Amino acid sequence: MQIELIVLLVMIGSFLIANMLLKLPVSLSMMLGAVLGTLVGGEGIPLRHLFEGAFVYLDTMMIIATAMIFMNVIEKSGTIEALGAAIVRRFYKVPAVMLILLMLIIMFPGMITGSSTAAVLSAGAIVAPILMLMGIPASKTGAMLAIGAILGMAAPPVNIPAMLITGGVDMPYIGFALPLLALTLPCAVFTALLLGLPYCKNLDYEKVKTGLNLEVGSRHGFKLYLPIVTLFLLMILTRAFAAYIPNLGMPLIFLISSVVGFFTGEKLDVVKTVETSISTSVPVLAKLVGVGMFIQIMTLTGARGFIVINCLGLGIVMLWIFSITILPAFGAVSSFGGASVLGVPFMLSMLSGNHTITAAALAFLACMGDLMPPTALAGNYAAKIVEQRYAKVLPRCLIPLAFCLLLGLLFLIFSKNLGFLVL
Amino acid sequence: MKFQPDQLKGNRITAIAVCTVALLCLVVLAREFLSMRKAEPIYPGPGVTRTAMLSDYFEGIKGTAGDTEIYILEGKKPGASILVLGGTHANEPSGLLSAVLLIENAVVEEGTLYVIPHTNNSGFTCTDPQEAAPMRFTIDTPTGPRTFRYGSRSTNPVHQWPDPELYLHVSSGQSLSGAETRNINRTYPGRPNGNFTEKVSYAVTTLIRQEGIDVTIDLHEAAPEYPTINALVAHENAMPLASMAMFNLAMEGMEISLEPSPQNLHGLTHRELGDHTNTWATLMETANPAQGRLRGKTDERLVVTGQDKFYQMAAKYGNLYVPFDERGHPISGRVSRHVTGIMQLAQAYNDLDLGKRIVITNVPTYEEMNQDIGRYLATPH
Amino acid sequence: MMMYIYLGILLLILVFVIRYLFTENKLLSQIDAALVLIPMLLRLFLIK
Repeated sequence: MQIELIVLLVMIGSFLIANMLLKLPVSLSMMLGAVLGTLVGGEGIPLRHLFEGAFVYLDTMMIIATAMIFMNVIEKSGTIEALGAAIVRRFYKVPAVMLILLMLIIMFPGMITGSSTAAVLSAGAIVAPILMLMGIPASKTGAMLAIGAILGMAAPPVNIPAMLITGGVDMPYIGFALPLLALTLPCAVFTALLLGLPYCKNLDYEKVKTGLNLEVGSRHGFKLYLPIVTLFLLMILTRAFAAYIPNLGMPLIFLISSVVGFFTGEKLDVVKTVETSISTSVPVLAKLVGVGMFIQIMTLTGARGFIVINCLGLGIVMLWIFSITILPAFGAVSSFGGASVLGVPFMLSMLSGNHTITAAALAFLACMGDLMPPTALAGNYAAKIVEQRYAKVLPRCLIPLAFCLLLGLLFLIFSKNLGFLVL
Repeated sequence: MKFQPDQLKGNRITAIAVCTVALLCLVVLAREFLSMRKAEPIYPGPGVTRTAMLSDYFEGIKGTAGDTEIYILEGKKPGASILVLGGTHANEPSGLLSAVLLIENAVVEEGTLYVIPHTNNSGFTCTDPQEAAPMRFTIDTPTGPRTFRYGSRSTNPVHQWPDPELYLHVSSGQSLSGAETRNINRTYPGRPNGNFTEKVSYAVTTLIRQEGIDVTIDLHEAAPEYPTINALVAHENAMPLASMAMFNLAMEGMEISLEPSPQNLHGLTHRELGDHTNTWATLMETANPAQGRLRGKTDERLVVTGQDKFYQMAAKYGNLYVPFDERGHPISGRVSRHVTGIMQLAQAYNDLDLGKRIVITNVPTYEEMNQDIGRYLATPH
Repeated sequence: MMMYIYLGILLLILVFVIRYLFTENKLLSQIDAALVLIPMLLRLFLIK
């Protein structure tokens, strides 16, 4: 057996044992896997390599932390509740439209932060009670949250796996908006209708109304939506006028919009809000540090190269099959890791198609990794919100997941024909 | 009783203990990371007549980590001028070593040779996260080992941070992924009021304008799975020069492909220096498996020997753009390609008979360097 | 300029991560916080 394979097995095995048997958090399990990997690989315990890997995610960590602050602000100031209530009140007669809009709300934080966790924990937490109030069972609500959050993560403008893949092959992250929308929107519509519609056909609005907070919206009026308006405005302006406006970056944009939110709705305790946000973020941030360690050690020991070379030895049909199996399955470690470790070489082996469509499809498929246990970033948080075990939620995700994988596969196979989506 | 780590209680004392361990790690890590700020010594040979700083051409980088030495080798007779850019990407070590080899050996009889070994000096002060590259590598010389830094493709983020989501290359309007804003070979011709990296590239552009550099040669390496490799890339103005050099190189037994600089890929030396100055802009690539995604164990040995079993497999699968067998692509061979390329570009310039010449001597031959570049590096002292 | 703003944001996050480390009553959560602290401090001090 090759030493790289032994290292890989030790790393994954010790990660699984630490996480599932010892119940260590993913971050520490990853660290343990990485340390054992270096020991077996004959590298001792190289502290520098362990922590250097985390720096890939430093900016992402800041985005997650500040996004969490923003989401807490608009949650506690009543903005999200008012938005949910407004949608239900306006659209309860057309449940299909309403479900799709609620799905888009779940997706929204993921779209702008590129993080499914941010989506689940913020918008997901607000939309979940509305969905359950309408009679959708908890497990299906959890599945809607998990899939919605992942689709948000994959949807434009920010798709981090796509950025990782394009960065790895010297290709600009441009022209991805439509391909990613074409991948995510049909899946969002399908998932919302499949899981939600059977329960919403004969909706009793009077009953649902009791669970809605209509008051907060009427008390503060449009002012309540100012943080979201600020967020969008800053995002759009800094991009549209990049040559004239300094690039603020997502963390700063989130903080500015959060500051706006402190004055536009229900009264907030600033310190407490930030404290709660950071407390929710720390496990996620630590997870990213752990993933960074794990990947750096895989690279150091040659385990990364071992995976890549064994995938490249396959024909195009096997590559397609691996793209919808191994690539998302790598999410059990990390979907970002999947995009970077497998996405880039897969991309290099599929250069005969339309590059942007191929990269978008691979990034989309890598995002599905956030459903894969044990890490299951989106899945575990979604289950927690609906107070179910993830084992109950996951089966409900399977049909939407299959739909997503199929669509991603079709985009890979027919990438040349879909070039018109790239503007 | 079953061991349940997740049930372990924490309190102020454990918090202090955890913090102490974290601080200890921090001290160890800081020492190691900061050690990369110490530059490797370069020993100017008989041909170096003077040195200058890049900030002599643009004040805006004075006192920053972007400022760097320019070694100038002047001939007794005036003539044409060539600028060699080593260390554009600090993780492509044959660029640095080729520059060092020229500085420590070459003698110019006619014309002037400018050599910058650390073009993006900041890139030498860190390594790329998740690439697990060694911080240094050693070349044995007959009189002792010489150690060189293996740095990052980009400017150290402690010198330029944060990255935007998208990098707008202002003079062309081209957008690239945000991290490319720290890649100096995407920021040419640079801007005096731009970001850190754009300022450094602006200084290089100004040097070329002020000194009227005739030929610029930017030294690079690429992963064996990248299409542009073992190649000479030239701006359209430099094509007659490059094609003549390529012919001469083939005569010398060195296979190299000639590729035109793409018109729509902006920020690169061979495009922007050719468009914005009068220099003939060229770039050379060799194969460095330590940069690739297919590589096995990543260490100093890989950087120096260029041997890797996974790349051998990839060559069999047909995934590579260079041949790859058990001999690999040792750094001696990569440096000899670069240095021979430079010599042949100089020769081709003279062959074009433009009224001025550049004559460089005391440089070992392709075969000599191919065997061991260590013999041509100065004694460490 | 933007760099100093971002160092400020980093400092803000760091302060609350340290607060979390000292208020959490689970050892593993404290270690999690320490893991996050190390890369953030290395950037704050402009080391890495």
